[in-house]
Amino acid sequence: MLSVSASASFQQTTLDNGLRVILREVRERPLVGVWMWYRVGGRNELPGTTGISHWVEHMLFKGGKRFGKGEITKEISRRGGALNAFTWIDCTAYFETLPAAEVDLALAIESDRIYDTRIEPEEAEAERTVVISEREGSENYPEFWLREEVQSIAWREHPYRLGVIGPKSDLRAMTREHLYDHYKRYYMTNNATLVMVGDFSSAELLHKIHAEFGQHPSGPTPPALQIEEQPQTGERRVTVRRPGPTHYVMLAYHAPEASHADAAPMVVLSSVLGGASSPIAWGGARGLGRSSRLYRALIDGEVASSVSASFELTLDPYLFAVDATLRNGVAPARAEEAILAQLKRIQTEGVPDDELARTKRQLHAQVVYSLEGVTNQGFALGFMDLVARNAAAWQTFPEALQRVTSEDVQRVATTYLGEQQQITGWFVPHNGAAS
Amino acid sequence: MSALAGSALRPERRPFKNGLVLLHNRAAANPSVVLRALVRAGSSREMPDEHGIASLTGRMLRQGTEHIGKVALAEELDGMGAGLSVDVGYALVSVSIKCLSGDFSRAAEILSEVLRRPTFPADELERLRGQVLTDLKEMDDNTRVVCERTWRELAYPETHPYHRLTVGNAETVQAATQDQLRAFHSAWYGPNQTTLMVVGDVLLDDALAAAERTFGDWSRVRVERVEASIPPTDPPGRQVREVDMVGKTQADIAIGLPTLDRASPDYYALSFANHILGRMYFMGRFGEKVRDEQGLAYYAYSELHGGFGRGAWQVRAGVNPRNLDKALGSIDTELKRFLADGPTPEEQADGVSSLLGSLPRQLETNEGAAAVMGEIELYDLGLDYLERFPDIVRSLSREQVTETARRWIDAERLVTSIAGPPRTA
Repeated sequence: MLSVSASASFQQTTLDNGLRVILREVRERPLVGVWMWYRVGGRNELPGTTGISHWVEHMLFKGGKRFGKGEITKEISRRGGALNAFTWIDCTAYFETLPAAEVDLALAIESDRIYDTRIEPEEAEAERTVVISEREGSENYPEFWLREEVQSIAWREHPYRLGVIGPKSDLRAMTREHLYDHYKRYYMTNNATLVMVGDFSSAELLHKIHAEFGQHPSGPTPPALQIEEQPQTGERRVTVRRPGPTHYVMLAYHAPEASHADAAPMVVLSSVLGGASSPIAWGGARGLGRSSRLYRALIDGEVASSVSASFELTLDPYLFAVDATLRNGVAPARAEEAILAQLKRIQTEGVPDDELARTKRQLHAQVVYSLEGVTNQGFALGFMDLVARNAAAWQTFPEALQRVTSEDVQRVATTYLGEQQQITGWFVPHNGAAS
Repeated sequence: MSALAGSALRPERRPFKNGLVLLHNRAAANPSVVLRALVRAGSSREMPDEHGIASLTGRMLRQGTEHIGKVALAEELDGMGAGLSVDVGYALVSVSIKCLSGDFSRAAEILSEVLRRPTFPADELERLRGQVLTDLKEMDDNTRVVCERTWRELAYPETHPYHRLTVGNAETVQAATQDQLRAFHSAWYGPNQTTLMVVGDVLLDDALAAAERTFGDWSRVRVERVEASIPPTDPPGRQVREVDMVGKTQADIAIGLPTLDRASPDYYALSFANHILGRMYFMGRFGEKVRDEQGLAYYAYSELHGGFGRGAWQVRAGVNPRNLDKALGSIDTELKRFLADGPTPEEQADGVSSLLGSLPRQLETNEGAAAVMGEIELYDLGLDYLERFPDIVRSLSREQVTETARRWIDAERLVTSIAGPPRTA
């Protein structure tokens, strides 16, 4: 028998083989959103094979036992569905959104993927250049080079410094055996969570899930990450000099993990500085945040043409970052000074009540917007289950944001945004522009 | 109209005395609403020496109005958690506010204020000018943008609005004046040039009342159909241009030609051909050949822009310069194969089922529904369009799709632009 624990907004259970299942019935449309989350990403990689999780993700569209090459996309597409996948530092996730009557197909695809992907040598070889091409597309943007350099010096030990896509040298050197070993090490029921949101009966669906996934054995628990990053003991700086249109500045600081009590104040801090976005899902409204501190100081102050602040929810401590694209003729030192002045203001003065209320309202609204549709709700449940280690956090974390006080924001700004914690990156166009 | 099976689209259309048209669709699944004004005031309305004026006018709407200054507006919108965005295209300016449904009434007032009463303050224009000049420099450094810009310069004559990007260029942006923006706004922003859409958790009566209150006394501007601002043009002969961009790794490719407008009776068959060539499954045949089989690119797809006038049909791909000739050859081969043989019976059947099956998904969000509703209104498709759509798609034969593709896509007259690192690098 399957034992099911229910909360107001979803049900969750774990099969005997360790597969965690999270179901949420939403009957507004005849649609279902299916997400399969694997706890493997950039943080599970080593130098020499960086980017392997992402490459394996590509290979999971290339055929297994029940679905041959190209058949997964064909079967979903001909039913009017959509599918895709992404790899991130903490996870790899696959999704299908399709008519509710076709839910069996999504279950069959994910069941086939989990153990029976073939990773044929010739297919792995063909995909090598696709992955390299994906990286090369990013290399066309100055911001990519700057972020990669800043990440590379932000940690001495933790694999977060390696990113997700991997350097070309690793992408050229990896073999099909590397890919297959990685796949076998991390793809198993006891390292995965299936999240489904949509027009179904959970009781009926659970029987289908059990029938489809129950026969899979669990595997050896993937190795836990042993690395603990030592505290940074002084500012780190990097300058990237390449052809480019203008200067870019990035200021980053070590920040707490999603399950830390300070994560909610950090989200509010980031929103006060750069405007709010939903911390739990993709999507939301565009054009918010023009009353934010950095917008006022850098855009209205004619220092930058764009500026953003970001704090992402992650398994291990990651980064709080401010990114700015500088206006023609503005020197990076001036932008850096303008950004630091805004951080200092919050550290010394906190945030007035009306501004804090405005920021919380933005966060509330962005969370609401980001939960439109079954695909987005499935993402939020799965993502929060993974990074906060608790699916209920898709509701409790947004609630925690509303309880953050001005003192909380001031405290985390002081605790985490100190000079000692700072990693500074400049992109300097070496073909001219301001100096 | 009755709702299409499985979709949440039940649009209501209400014309106002001053020419404004309100389109409303109630969807209560998410406690939010999208208010979107589509104003026929895009760059096709510009005079020859005004390139970029439509874009600057659109971007200045939120920089201060008669009743609310820029900073107060930003604070109020942020205090509501509402996002205001402006997108300027060739035919249309789209001004949208996304807000929580409880804030709908105030959001309607704000939308009206920015559309009707912008003041174009001089200091804000200077500030925006500097920002746009930096944006333009970034665009000059972006292979995708340079590729698109180059393709348009080759594919459309200089007198055609599609010849250039809507943002303008450094020279015209530098020269733009307050008076120009005011004059452009006075000429083209009016109720009889505007479709107002309210999509989401708001009742029709509330939408009607808000529209009447905030837009009911808006005075008409001169009437000129937007189609009249897009002149006819013929596809040019075969052309190829490569733009070298130092410091880049990947080359962006655009291949295609001006084809037809949305109102053409051939639109559905050509759109279906494009679906098979560059969209269905995973980026269509181009994706299957160039990415899946040959591993030459991360993306290779095609798109059909069926707007007013001859919209572009383009294949787009990003490849390493070493693989350029191979990718161009593959695209050419695949296109010619399709023009010779048309879709396979399996592709034809899958094309129909994928287009019809995807409708509920496309209409799942308020933004998705607003996009479909806007298309229905702009191209006069009728409120029963979604009811008719399945029959339109099912009625297409393989022969018709093939014939139509041959008529509009001449493989010998394709315009090709490439922007990326020098090939010797």
